[in-house]
Amino acid sequence: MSISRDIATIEANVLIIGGGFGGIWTALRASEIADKVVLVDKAFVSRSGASTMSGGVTNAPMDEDDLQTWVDEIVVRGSYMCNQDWTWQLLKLQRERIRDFERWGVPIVRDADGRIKRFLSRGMVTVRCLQYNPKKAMEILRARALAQGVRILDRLFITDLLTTDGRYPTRGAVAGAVGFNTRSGERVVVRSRTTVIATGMTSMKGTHRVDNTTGDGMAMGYRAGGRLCDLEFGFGGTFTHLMKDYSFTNYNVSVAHGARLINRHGERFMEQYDPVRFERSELARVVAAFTKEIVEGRGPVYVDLRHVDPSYWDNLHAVSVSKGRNILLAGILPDPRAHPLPIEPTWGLWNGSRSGLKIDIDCHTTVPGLFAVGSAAKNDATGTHASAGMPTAYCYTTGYRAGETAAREALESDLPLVEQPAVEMLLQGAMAPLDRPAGALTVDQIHDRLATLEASVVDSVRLSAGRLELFASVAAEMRAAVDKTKALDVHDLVKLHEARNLAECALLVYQSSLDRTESREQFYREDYPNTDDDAWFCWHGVTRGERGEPIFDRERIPLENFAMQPPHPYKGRSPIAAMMDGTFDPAHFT
Amino acid sequence: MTSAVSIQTELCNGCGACLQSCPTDVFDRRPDGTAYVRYPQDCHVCFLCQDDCPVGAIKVDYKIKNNRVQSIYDILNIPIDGPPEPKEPS
Repeated sequence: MSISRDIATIEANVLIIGGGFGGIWTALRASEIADKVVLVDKAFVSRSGASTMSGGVTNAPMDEDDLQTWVDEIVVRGSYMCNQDWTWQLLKLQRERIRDFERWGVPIVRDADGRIKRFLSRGMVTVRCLQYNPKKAMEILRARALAQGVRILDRLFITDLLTTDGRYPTRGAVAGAVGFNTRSGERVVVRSRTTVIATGMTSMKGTHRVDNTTGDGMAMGYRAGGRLCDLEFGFGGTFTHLMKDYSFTNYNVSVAHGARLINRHGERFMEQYDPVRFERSELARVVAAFTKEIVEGRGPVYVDLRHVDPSYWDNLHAVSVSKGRNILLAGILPDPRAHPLPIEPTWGLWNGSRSGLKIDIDCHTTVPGLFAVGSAAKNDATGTHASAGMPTAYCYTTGYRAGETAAREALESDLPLVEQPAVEMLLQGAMAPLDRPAGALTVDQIHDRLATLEASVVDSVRLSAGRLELFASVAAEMRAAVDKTKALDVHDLVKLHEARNLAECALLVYQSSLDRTESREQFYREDYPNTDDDAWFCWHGVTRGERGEPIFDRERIPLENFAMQPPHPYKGRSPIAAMMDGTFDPAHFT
Repeated sequence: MTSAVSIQTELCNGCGACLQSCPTDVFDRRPDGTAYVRYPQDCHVCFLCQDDCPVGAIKVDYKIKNNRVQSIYDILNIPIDGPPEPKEPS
């Protein structure tokens, strides 16, 4: 098919980039306030990204809950490194979103009496979750958005944000975005009064079977001047693979229903680290314990589902995203009700809202005209620990809040002016790889190479200057390769832009990790094993300098504005460092 | 290359549901309107197309090796043959 050379221009009050839970909730709320709400997605809204493919778990505060006890637990578990105002806002807004889900007929797992069935969130002893069908939820939300007049543009890949001064980073404001249709190649310019980044998390292709969450919004927001925050906490993962090759999609739900991890001797090894929560402990601690079992010769590790609550099996059927995808239902493994199955985690670039664009209580980024929501934004509600269901809750609630703020501000502002030569330069740059001669690598080879950065969970859990410098050099090399790689067609062009964004995000994550000279909760450096509150109890930011260089900063957490205060500054072994050197005392690390 | 997703062309009715469904855009149409797997390397085994196909023409296969993931058991050469005898819960 020939590639279109046409350019379409669209005007919007609110442009939303990304159509997962964050984006669709933004669109739903914005379209209650303003017209010309445009939602774009590089795939098809309701079949795109991590939302549809998520585990179907979200936080579920309800009317009968004392939210103070929930806030207490979230703040303490997050090491007081959150914005406590955001924690309150999240829970209050989430309670309303659950009511919306019920009213709109989203399939939610219920008990025999028809009440929403809740279970403890992994990592928590108070905060509770519910289970629902995320694909059906996305379909319902899409239909509602269309009914409310939202203009949805599927298969539109946004390459860069427009700025009023044509500079990157801008000294002005964001004024929309440019991109191209992923099938026809038609170029699109969206001029907008406000712009919301909702592109989800950042992860390498291949590692999580959600291959289009490539950090597009984080990267373009950073290029435009947005401040990213706590990138090193973007190292993450979960237990994703059964019997080496099969995708396991519901670790959080399974351990909430009684699943256990055991080593080759049948020992439930998490007992020594967390005799209260066991496998429901902080994921980083469970993954670190896994690596210790493996390295010390007690592997493989198995997931033991023999003792789960019987409702676990019923609910698997009820909320399964697809008939085939749930490996436990596929009938090709040894019977998981009778046999423990070998399991392993991934650990790497998988930020899931623990890091991202820094936003305020109304979801403004640091650039005028630009908002961010969901997993593209740093989760200010939770600090260092996002328990099960919190990332999706953050998508719903940041979306709702950003939709409200962006729509109201759009109605009070003029359409920003943009400089035409700058627009043309962006469009030309977006399509340039199609006209380039073939380079040394193909775009698939670039993604292959980026994926190797996360090849070994044992290496990526235990970071050090040497490993991080190696990772950074590969990311920088692949970023440079992107500029020399030919796109064979528009499909290839999408993947090349994704590689650009992934490499830029990865490089920043590794640079940010090198800058943080301590270990803290899930972030563990062998060369700096201690937590140092005096130096690092802060929000660790990075912005782009005029010459493209990263500029790191440490923002003081304004504890004086919040009700809950940490007991005292901590200096000493981080929990994972203590696990690794055998000094871990569960009483010390609650 | 071996693809994780395949279409039985004789069953395809050309509705285009798979083209809409696929997050990574692996499908295209032939001149006669039937769908085919144009970019097999980009299938991320999500099964959305298999579920969305109204005539059951699409099959996604779990057993195709994902070359971008290496098992830590392979990296460290740890055999996984046979489950353990789990201890009774403490």
